[in-house]
Amino acid sequence: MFSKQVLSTDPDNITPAQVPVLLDALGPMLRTLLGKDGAANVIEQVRREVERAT
Amino acid sequence: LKRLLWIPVIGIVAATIATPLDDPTASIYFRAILVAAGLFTAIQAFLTSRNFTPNDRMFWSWVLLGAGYALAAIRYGMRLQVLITGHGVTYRPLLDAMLIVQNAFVAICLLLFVQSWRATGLATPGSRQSQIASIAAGIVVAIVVGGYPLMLGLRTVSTDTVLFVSTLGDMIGIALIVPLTMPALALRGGRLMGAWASLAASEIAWLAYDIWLALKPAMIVQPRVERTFEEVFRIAAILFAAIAAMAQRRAARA
Repeated sequence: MFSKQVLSTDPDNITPAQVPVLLDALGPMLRTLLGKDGAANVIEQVRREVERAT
Repeated sequence: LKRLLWIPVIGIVAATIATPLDDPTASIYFRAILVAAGLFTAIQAFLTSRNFTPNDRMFWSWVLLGAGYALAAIRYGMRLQVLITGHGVTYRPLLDAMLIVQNAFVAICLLLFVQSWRATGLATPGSRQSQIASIAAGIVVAIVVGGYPLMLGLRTVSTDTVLFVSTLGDMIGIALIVPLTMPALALRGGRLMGAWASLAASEIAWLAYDIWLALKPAMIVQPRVERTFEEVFRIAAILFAAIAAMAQRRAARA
């Protein structure tokens, strides 16, 4: 849903370069569900996974 | 979630093994478990609220859940003191006021949880029609379970505010089972699923408790077994709320 809204693309077609934009868009939703620190943890974890994979 | 399920299971086992006990030992035993479960849940909820700031809806959800179960624990504790010592706080208006505030806190907290989910803008599974149908079904169940006691409370609102507020709180909780389950389904496979699923499980246990109380007079069950069922539902409901708080903290640490 977020990839469609923010990047106008399907989740499977997201490029590593688009990930930071997507993570920024996910921030408010993650903060609502997990709190500030929890959201930061998840975003950091995703960022690390993407870096490792590329 | 699987790792946390042992907590309500222990509570249920602890209640079940007390079936052969006679009063007043049984009453003291069950009250002691309820006090411990209520305090445990309140502590877990307050700890989880620290993941959020007062600007977040979820902060108030967890604070109110903690406050609601803290009040419940204090109320159970007061009754326990009377059972053990023969004296203590028995002032009815105070106990009733605590029950009313406790119900209001938990009902508002559940509404805030549902509002928080809606604020994320995340989709829930199923078509719009099936979502509306399941929410409507939840409301119908709430009306069926709480309708009669609510009418009684309304008719005698001046004398039985406790019944009125308590039933209204229960009905809100029951009506929110479906809206609380939907996020759990949407988050299935993820760590946060456990928090929402446990909250829904807690309300389902309260629903079972209410149904049991309503059906009890028509059931042919030994009084001891009857009491055990009652306490099992109550203890499970409280401890599922505790593991919801614990699952929420675990998800944030992931």
